[in-house]
Amino acid sequence: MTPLELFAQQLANGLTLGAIYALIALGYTMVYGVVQLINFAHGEVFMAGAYAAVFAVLFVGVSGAPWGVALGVAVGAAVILCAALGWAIERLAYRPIRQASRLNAFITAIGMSLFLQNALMLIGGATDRQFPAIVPALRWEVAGVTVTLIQLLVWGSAAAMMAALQWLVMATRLGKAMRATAQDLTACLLLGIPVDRIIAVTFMAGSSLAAVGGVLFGLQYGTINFHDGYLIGMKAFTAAVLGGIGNIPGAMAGGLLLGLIESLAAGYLSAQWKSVFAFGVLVIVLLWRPTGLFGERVADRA
Amino acid sequence: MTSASSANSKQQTANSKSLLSAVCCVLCAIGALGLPIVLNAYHIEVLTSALIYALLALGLNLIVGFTGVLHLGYAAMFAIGAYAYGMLSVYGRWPFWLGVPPAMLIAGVSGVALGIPALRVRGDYLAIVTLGFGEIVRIAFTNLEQWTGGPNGLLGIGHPQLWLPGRGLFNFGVASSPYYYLTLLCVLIVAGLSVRLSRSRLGRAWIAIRDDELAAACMGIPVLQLKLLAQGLGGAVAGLGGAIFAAKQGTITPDSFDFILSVMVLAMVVLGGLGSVRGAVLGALVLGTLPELLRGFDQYRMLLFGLSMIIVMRLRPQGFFGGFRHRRHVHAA
Amino acid sequence: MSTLLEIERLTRRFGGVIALDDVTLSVAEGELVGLIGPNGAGKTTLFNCVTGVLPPTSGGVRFGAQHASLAGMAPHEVAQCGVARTFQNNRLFASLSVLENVMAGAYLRTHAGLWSAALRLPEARREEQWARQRAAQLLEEVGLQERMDEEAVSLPFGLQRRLEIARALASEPSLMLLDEPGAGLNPTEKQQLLQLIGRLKGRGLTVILIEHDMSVVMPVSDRVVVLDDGKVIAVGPPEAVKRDPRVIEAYLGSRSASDAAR
Repeated sequence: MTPLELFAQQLANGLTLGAIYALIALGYTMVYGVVQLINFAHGEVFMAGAYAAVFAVLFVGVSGAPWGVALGVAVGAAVILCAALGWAIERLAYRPIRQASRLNAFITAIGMSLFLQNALMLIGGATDRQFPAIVPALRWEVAGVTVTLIQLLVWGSAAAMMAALQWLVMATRLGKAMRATAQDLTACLLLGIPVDRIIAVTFMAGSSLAAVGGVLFGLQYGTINFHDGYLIGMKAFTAAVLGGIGNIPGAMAGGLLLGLIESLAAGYLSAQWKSVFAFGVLVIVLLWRPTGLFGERVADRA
Repeated sequence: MTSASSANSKQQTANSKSLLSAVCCVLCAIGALGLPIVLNAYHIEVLTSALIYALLALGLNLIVGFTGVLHLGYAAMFAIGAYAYGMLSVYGRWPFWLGVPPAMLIAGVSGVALGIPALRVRGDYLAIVTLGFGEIVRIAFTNLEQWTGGPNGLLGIGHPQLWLPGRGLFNFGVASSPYYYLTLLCVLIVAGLSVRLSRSRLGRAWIAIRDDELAAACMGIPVLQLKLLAQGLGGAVAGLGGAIFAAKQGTITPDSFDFILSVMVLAMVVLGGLGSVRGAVLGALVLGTLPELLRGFDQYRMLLFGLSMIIVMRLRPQGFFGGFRHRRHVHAA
Repeated sequence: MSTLLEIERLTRRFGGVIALDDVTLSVAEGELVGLIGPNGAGKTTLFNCVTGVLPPTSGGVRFGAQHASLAGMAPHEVAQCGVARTFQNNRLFASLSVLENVMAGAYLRTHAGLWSAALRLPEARREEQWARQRAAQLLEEVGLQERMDEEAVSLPFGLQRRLEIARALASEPSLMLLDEPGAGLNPTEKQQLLQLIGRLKGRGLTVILIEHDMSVVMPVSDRVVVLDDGKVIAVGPPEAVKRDPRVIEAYLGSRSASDAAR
């Protein structure tokens, strides 16, 4: 491999990881935008998506079906379960304390994260679980860089989901209501916008993106574990902050950037220190632009 | 009666009330002193770690409870204290009592250093900077294998030794109860100092910053300076906790200082009631022993633990001792 | 009388909006200046620029006998120079009692450091005693002595206003900026407030008073400054300003026409 090919390969790997981060980061950023809550349980929702896919594939028994059908079953199950989970989390844990201080909501989110993580362990087992290889292991050589079918799927679906989200938020009535709620929740209440429903939909949409992220993560890395959600979730949250939390294009850019930094740092510097580089870049970016790359330039409410 | 003299008579009621609560504290302390005689070794072990949590919660209370800075990397301060004493002990053969002050100093200075980004970064963005710092420290201790022993841990950290009249040099060894008493003493000292600080000019300024940073600044309160002071003090307390932890364990590994620890200590502070000193201690004792109390539920215990955090936040959002009533009780009578 | 505050060609922009446009104003020691103008005229922005809350886009602020520049100072440094303020929408410390709010305001007048506070050394104890008495005196002055131990934010709105003034007084300022202390008060409360402001002036304190309602400012002010659309459109004794055609136009042009007529 020439140095250039090596670089391109790292870039491809980084984009894959980054696309997954971005999908999860969107959930953090959407929820934060609407209710200013760091939804700590979001990483667990992502993992729940991966587990739902595993179980759906096992139960439905898709061995004979074409891989597209199998993938459809996996993604469908993950999205349905996660959307329901996102709705339930908001309805049962966060809505009752929406008036309380933000620190309370944060602790509730941590409690929810612990609860879900352990629920996943009880349901899915404490050890690593093989993710079914439903997508054929096709690979192509493009100018010296190996690209797998799974990677193409990751890129394609991430791009499609982000485009769909952008359309939802910018071009529909629902999206308009979401943006209005993010601006001023009280004013929306006064104007008769069904704020509760908008918030619930935001949680469900974010959770669905995380569900897709969970399936893609399982496909790409082959094994899943109940506590992966915490680590990946934390990275995705970092990505959301990097881009400017509450900002949708920011979450996408932050996710891709973080994936690239980790991949390049692992490839050229040291795999052990890659997270240090990721967090180091975060700190430097925030010192340079205190509200993230795409953040508003106003002082954050502390 | 002029208002000034009525303020003074209020002060006297405050004194008599604080005398009452001081008596309660003494009674609790005597009870706590007697516990190791009644309980078995395992329970003492659990209580000792709960007391180390209490020390951490008291330190974090200075930062989050008093100044309102959301700190998500507090475990790093604890780690820095633990590794500072651990390395002084392993490589320098420093005795525990000599190792504690530098451990506190290094952790305190790190606390201040971590506060520097606050010059520009605020709110939740600052919280994520502290989170990142916590992770960087943990990964650094994992990867700097030649000094820290890496994931296998730093081995052979010295236990404290104490010269006792009649018994000669007493080594704390591996039994829990000497550490129980040592930690209890530290918790009492730090709690006592915290209460006094909270009733002082500095304590009021901190609370003012937490309640309304801009109004505080316009009263002439140097917001950033006092936040850094709180972070330095909080760091030093974590350093003390870390040194005790390292001395007690004899071996420390980086995964004892993960993000979950930061989050747990934060939960203890919030559960106790932001800014409440006794709340921080009680929150630590409850959350520190709850997983053990739930041990009967076996693998469901962490599930129940998470659930109880959600329920407590819903039923009592201000924590055990939070809200204004408590503060009035503490301050003005 | 010597000049205490000099605002020189102060301009502040928010994006394309010019909130303050080349404002020049000087305030003499012991003077009570009424600052009036329609909503959005830039009155609060002017306070924010003087107190270091907002950096001005251009221009400067000089303060005190030495004409020290306040430019680039942080809010707490401006306060150290002797400028205190209240806020339009009360910003009391919610977890502190009424008395403690005032004691927190006395931060600059107390000096206990970390060790003397943590160890309760005699000097810290004495100082605490002093601060308590001082705060109680100030509360008596604003008529809140009966409510010292209550939760500050549980006070009725009008009393919160007075607590804000007591808190600002606790720093013993030489210049006091009052941001619409009369807003939201009923006529009786407004009268009491005016008496209080009159007493402050009697003590030699220099005051700038923002007020929406002309009838409130006119009787107490030595001079009135009218701000409209970020510009000073009139300065002078109350009676003259009242008759100034530009002022009448500014007020008639806004929804506060009835205020001007009073």
